[in-house]
Amino acid sequence: MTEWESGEALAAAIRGDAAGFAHLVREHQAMVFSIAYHFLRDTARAEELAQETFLHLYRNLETIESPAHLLYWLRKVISHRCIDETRRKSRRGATVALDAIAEPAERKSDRDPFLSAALRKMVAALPEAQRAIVVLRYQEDMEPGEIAEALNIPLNTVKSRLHRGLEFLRRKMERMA
Amino acid sequence: MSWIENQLRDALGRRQPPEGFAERVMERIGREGAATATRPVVMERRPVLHRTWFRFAALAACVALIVAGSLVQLRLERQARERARAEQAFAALQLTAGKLHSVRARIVSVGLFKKAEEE
Amino acid sequence: MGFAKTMLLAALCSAAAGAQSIDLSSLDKLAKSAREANEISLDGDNLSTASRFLYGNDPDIKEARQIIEGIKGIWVRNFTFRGKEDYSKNDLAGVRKQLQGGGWSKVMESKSESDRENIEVYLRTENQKTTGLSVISQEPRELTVVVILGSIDLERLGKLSGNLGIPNLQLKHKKKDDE
Repeated sequence: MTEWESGEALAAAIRGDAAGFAHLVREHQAMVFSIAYHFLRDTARAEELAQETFLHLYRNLETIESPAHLLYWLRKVISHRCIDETRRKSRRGATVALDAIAEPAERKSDRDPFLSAALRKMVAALPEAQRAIVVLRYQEDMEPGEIAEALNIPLNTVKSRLHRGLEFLRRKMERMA
Repeated sequence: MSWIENQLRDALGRRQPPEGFAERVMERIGREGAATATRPVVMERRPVLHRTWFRFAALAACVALIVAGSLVQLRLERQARERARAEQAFAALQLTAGKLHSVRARIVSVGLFKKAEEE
Repeated sequence: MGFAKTMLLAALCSAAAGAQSIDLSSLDKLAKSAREANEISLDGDNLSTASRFLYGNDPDIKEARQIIEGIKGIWVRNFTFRGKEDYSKNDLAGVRKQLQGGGWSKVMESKSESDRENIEVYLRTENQKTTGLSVISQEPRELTVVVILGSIDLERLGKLSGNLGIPNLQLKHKKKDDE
């Protein structure tokens, strides 16, 4: 398999090289899938949205200016799709029993796995706007300014929703303890 | 960084999608994506034979191939333009619906939000 | 109350309609100061073939196909600015003036303090049927104006899930470097 330097895979993909595009998919699939999974708590739906995001990328490769821009673009598109998906589901009355969802394989961690699982469920119960911000902040380590840019909302709105989301989660965790 | 933020960082770590994800994406692109992607069509050159009539026939065949290729290319480009217009129309309707839903949601959410804050 | 009924009831007292489209060219000058400018202009033949090329089993696409078959034109102008208030109310004066006559009436306006977004919705009705819909969305750094003309099925439009407004896919596009 060809080893790509940073930026080379993107340039190759834009030229029409399928191997270059496949490399981009493998490089970013965990990020895109995880955002969707932590948002939706549905492996199948998360994969569907992740696939659609990469399909959308394929059709818009010419607009990607750099590897950094690609990262920003992918985060933005998957976040928007997750929020739209949640609104679509709530309008159609579809519900997912959060307890019934089998989780994808977890990476090893020194922390309490039960606590992590409970916290993930609580994040999935946040209102969609807060949920997107929490996932981008703590999964992707994005700064509030970057989140505001990706979600196209004011910085102060990001900060206030993040604060409310954390307060909600903290109260829930304290009640659990 | 507070305790809850550390817990969130750990709980929300990245995880790989199910096995074979990249292959499924590439298959899907092969089915759905290739038709809308605009990629240059590369025409290969063929060597011209030395005998005059072979040369003429080969040249005529090349011209026919180029014309046919151009017609196919034109048709693909036209279809790509029409597909793009369809997607623009869809995007515009989605955008409009999104704004209308926002307006309606605000009217409904004011009462609910206050109730959530009181809890 | 259903989506369509809400909108139609609000527009019933509008004046007799004229056959006017809305000229958005007064907004084009904003592209010079915008970081990103997107435009959709589809009418006539360009729009009539659109529904044929929307395929798939997605419920939104099925609804959109039906909606498109009834309408005559869709126009969108979307601008993203670097600084807050890089556009002014006066920039929209020309558009708003056109939405004050010819059968048009404002049926809804909503301001959100938290999102700092102001949305106005206008309808044009003729013989109790909706023949025009316009939405003006103002945010500190983003301006979006949508005009749709033709026989608009508001009930179907209400069924679309809607999106956060990323105009995408091969639009007339101008993007400046942020740095």
